[in-house]
Amino acid sequence: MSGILLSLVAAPLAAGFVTLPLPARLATLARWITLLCAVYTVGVAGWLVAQPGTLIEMWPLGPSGTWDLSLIANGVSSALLLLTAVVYATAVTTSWRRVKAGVAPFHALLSLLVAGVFGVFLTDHLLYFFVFYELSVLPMYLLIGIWGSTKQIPGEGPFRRLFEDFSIGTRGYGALKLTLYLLVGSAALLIGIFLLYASYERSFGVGTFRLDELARTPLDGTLRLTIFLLFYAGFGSLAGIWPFHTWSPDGHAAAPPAASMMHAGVLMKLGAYGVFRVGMIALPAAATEWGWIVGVIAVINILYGAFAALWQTDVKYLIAYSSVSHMGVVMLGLATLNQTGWTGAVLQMVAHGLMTALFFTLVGIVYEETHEREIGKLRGLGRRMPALSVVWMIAVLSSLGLPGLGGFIAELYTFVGAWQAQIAWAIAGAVGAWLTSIYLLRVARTMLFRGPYEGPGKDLYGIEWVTPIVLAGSLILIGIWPRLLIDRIEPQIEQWLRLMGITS
Amino acid sequence: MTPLSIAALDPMQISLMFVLAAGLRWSVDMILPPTSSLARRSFWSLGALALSAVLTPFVPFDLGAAGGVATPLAGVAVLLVIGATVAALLLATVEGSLGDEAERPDAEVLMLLASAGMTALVGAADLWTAFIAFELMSLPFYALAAFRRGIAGVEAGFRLLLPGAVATLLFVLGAGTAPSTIGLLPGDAVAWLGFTAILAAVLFKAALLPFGFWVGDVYRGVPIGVLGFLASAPKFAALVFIARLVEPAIGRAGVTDALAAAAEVSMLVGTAVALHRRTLRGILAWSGVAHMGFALLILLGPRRYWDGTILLYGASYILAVIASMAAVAGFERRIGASDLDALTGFGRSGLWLPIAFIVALFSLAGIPFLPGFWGKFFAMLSATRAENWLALAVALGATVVGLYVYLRIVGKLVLSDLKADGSTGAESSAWQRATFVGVVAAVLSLLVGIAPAQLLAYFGYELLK
Repeated sequence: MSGILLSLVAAPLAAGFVTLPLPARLATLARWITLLCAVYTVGVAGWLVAQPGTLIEMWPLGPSGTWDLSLIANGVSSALLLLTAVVYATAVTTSWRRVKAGVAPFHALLSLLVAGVFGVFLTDHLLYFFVFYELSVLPMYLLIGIWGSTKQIPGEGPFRRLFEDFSIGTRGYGALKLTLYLLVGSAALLIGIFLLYASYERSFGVGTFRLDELARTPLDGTLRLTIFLLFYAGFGSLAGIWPFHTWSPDGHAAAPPAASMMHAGVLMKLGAYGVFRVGMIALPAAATEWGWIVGVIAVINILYGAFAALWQTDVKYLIAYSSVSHMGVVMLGLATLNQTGWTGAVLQMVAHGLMTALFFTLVGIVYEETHEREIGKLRGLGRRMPALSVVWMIAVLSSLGLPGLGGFIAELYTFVGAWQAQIAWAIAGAVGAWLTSIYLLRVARTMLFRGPYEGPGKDLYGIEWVTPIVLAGSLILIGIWPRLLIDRIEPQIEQWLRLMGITS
Repeated sequence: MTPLSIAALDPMQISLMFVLAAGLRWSVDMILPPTSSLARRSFWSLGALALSAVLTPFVPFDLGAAGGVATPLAGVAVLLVIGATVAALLLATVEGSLGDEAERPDAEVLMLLASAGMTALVGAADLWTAFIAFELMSLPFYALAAFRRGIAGVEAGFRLLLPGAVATLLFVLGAGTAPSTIGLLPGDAVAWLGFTAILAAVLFKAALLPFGFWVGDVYRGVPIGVLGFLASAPKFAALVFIARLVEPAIGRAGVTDALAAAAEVSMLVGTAVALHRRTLRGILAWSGVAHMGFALLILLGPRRYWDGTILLYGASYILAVIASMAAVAGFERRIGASDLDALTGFGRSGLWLPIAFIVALFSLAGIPFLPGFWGKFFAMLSATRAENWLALAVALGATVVGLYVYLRIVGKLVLSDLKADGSTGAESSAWQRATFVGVVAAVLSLLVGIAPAQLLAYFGYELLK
């Protein structure tokens, strides 16, 4: 019990509470505290990834073992912790010059959110899992609602009144829509937790919240399906599964860059991880019986997200829809229920987390510099912002799966796994990857290489270089040295599959 | 650490302590100069309470023998009443919270007497003792509610008195017909009718529907210092009394169904009405009804978890209510209003009271790591253990809508820029005292939320097997 895992949760929590009351004149101090905390977490998470095996800590938070806060760093959670820490650190560097008002509370909320995310990835105690999950979701409401950007969409056609009544497109609308969707999802999770816990308590006479124990709960057919669907829909709404994804484009478009980075880069992964860890591994029988639902919806996500992205003219919405599509790839990997597919899903979580964070940083910088999000009006930006364009292309190429970049290896594993599970899924996934290359390359061509750009704009400079270098560098590192993560992820997945009785 | 002994909290002895404190406090008034400040008077109230706590063990007769019982369940209510009383006495230090600037030394005496009634109610062994306690807990509030000068005060007192009179009538009717020992089940139809009448009378005090309809009117007119007390302690004293009444009837379809129905109606209607209120008082009134509905769910589940869960729910609710009322007191003094639109942007004024208020709202909404989450969680777990799916579904619906109700206030406070000029004014001492009370309650909330089970274990209560 060294406390190193607890410190991952405690450090951002402490940073949050320390920065919250800082007055405006100490804004720089708030930035430095948060950055130091983030760098510390990157160090710890990096050490965890380099460390073979599993690290376990138990912290008593109640009178009996049922209340112990269990923190476990295995191969899969370590990889996701590192992703979170890297995005956290780069979110701070991205906001360094861009967030000017309310600096202290902004960084405090960011840190609280990250503390929640670390908690979810670390614990295998279902109750704390949920508690940390909520902690990571709710600060987003304030981050978007206060620091977001507004671009009200004028209503037209039969729904004009609705557009105006809800002020669609404003940051208030984006924040509230996102929060309400996710809270309804949480309500579903709560019922699932109640049902699972009460069933276990009835069967064994004592209660537990440990996921590996709950996996032994005998459940009859209907109850099993109900609980599975509740967890799938509840966590899935955060992962952006169709048809609960519509908060994602509105929320991401309204969010400030750092919030989008956290949300698309990390929080959506949190939803997928919830489906994975609770919905599937803790409900093995339901997962083998009903896993195909996840697969079918994942295919819809991939294709629907890609088609929707094809028609976007607003670059933030484009990236948001491409996230919906890419999260479909993650869910497809999970649905395969085999070693290759699951490894691919985890790799895709990491790779997509990095590249989407990179995209949102770049979009944020473009928007701040040009005050423009319409792709058509950004024609020829490449000449004005050459450095940004280079990084943009790295993100594009990783996103469409070019070998040598992180996205390739993840999609390769996922689609091979899907091929083993259900050939049609793999084909649909490949079509999705093809569509991705169409919309991303088309936008890159228009935005970066076409026509002279007349508006304002200043290329990357100073501290703004940090985020692109770190994120793009990580993508390249995973692309050329994927074993770094795969060697850590695979043993854990093997163990889970054995535990679920899928492999012997 | 060994559990603190609940036997030390014999309700009747604690009731005696409150009576003693009221007497001491009253005598002090005769010595104190009439111009002494609110803070000094409040200091004397707390001092009287502390002194009587020391003196009570030396009182040469045992009230407990005269018709009282001490159980862990009663201990829950005693703990909550003591906490709420201290909080209410602190809240009373905010200038204007008891109506107006006039000297009201008797207010704190009345509050202490009401607390004596509440603790006696939960410890009473028979219905007639309970009836006297019931009246002792109610009467001071009629006077307290009417403390505001002018027609508003009279109106508030009247609105509280009217349902109170009906409740008294029902209690008398019931006490005459139901078995007089609490814990025995009625034998025949008439006795059951009496039992039901008593249940209805207590539902009035717990502000549970269909009998809690008075909250809207009363919350609007009662001075805020009194409201903080009225909205917290009596509700949970009444809830524990309900628990003691229905304890022998667990598993009887009629009783369980009646409780479930009251809980469901309270959650549904309370949340729905709160959704349409535009003032903080109105929202707190009706969302409070919904909260008592949640708390009533606990009585549907296994008996084993009642005590711990009620204590947790009560503590979370009382802390949040006190912080909210402190905020309302502060707002009403500072900007003269507490309706939603007047508060636009106030959360961004960099002042601590709005922040404490936001913590309280998050706790009421049931957001994790705040005690309100744990309270709701275990209340709903009770409904799940009882396999009462309708109640669970209603509770979840009420939670989601309730989130919107509370987040809307938070949104008003922080999502727009400050337009009121209230933040620029010099901080009055009323604002500072309200801030003190609010921040203390909010910090306690945060602390309770970290490890609630451990905290309950110190008192010997449990939430899980």
